[in-house]
Amino acid sequence: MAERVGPVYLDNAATTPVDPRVRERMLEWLDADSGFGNAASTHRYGRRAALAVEEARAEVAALINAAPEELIWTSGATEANNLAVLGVARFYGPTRGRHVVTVRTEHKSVLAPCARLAAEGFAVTQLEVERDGSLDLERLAAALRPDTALVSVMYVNNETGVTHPIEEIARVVKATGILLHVDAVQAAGRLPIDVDALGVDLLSLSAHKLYGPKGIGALYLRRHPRIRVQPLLWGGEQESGVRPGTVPVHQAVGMGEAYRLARLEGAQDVARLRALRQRLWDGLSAIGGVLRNGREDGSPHILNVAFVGVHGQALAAELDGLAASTTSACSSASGAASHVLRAMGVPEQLAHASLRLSLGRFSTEQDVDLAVQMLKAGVERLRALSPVWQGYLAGRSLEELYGNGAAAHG
Amino acid sequence: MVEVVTELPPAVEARFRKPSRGGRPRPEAGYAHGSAGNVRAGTLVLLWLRLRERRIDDARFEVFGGPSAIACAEALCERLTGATVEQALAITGLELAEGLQLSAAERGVALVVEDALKAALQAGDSNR
Ligand SMILES: Cc1ncc(COP(=O)(O)O)c(C=O)c1O
Repeated sequence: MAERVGPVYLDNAATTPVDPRVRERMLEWLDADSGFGNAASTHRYGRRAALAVEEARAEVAALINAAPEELIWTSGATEANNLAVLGVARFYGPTRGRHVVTVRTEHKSVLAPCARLAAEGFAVTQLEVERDGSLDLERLAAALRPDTALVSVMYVNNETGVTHPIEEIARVVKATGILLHVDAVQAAGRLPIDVDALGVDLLSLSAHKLYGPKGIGALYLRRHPRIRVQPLLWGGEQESGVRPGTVPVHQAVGMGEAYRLARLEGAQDVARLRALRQRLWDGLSAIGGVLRNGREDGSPHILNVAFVGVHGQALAAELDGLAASTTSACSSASGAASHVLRAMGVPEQLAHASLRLSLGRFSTEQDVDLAVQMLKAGVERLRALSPVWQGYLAGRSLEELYGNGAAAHG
Repeated sequence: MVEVVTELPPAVEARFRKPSRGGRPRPEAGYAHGSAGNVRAGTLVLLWLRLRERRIDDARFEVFGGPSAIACAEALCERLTGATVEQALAITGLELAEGLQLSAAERGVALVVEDALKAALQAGDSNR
């Protein structure tokens, strides 16, 4: 086994390493003598590039059971989400109404465009979630109005792995003729996605969360019936004018290969991820006082846990050997806790002491065991100094320890 | 990649990594106890002092807080060991913060530590 050059990497929900097979395919398209053509050009270089771009598009489409012409290349999922939310609202707002519905636990690349719409005069409803991060469908149904143009709900939450039942959500939403957008960035390659079976109208994808390169993503736009969006950018005719700009051929090829591999190997990947996540949870829960943020039936690659009795910044300082996501990475005491965990009712200081561990195709049992070992040592060391941990051992409830009634003596 | 790299000042680093005075004494050991701060605000400091005549011969702490708060409580307990009550009363949060090279934003935790000291000394006074 090669010697480890850095910390144990359990942050695959932030980004994944590029699969070497993807890299290989991309390199061909960076060569001066083969792959530099502009896919919009009509000469041979251009036609060759266009062919590669269309093959890649077909591969991405195949993973979600869409037609290739239903996919628009973007610079990533942030742009895809912006294009979906702003594009639908601005295109259909004048005719269908100026109300959009989303969820408090969505990614910032959905929430921020919604805030932008609010500034433009749209009404925006942000649905609350349950304590386990799930969405109550009756709450959703009750939020829909005659002037609702769009509902945007993610498939897999990037912080907790909690999944929303898209098929059931689509049934509720489509019954009223409202359009449904789904951010499926974390779901791709981990859960089956069939845009027809799910009944979604728009769906966002990213390459770098699935062993592809950073800097490219795609937006699925249903053709039948045809969904329209107002573009964010104005320029040439590329991507039917919906997303002008020269298509980055090597990036598209990389995303295509990554999605092809996910289609062929996804089932194996998922089985491995599931086993690794179980191993991780078994190891961490054995420490005691470790709480799962989210649900056991969430996406197989994400585990979010809170460590009772430990301060977020102290925990972060213990994790030099582990690359994972904490909201307390910043040294300032005022750093805000995760909006997702806060929406789930996790007390602020417990949210700060939470860690998202996310597994990937290249994670190993050894990674998991090392992470558990490091976390156990760090957490136990800090707990020996912690009055909150003493309170927990004495049987105080989380509400007493962390909530509004938190006693001064922990 | 969100790698957690926390740069701590050396004086904080050393005390945060290897505190020697953490953990509460047994109740029957008769330490004077004081506390300050709270969990919701992010820093809770508990302090125990063993007084012999007018001298502190042992000081212990527990902290719910970041590396700076833990280091600050440790640094205080180092200084308290062997100090007279009068010397202890003269210690300020500001000088603890300066000794540890805490940033301006982190000074607040040193003031919580100072408040816990005051409370423990007061408890010691009324115990006598
Ligand atoms: C759920 C979700 N949506 C959107 C994004 C943004 O993706 P990208 O980095 O491709 O812009 C991310 C990644 O940060 C994500 O996890």
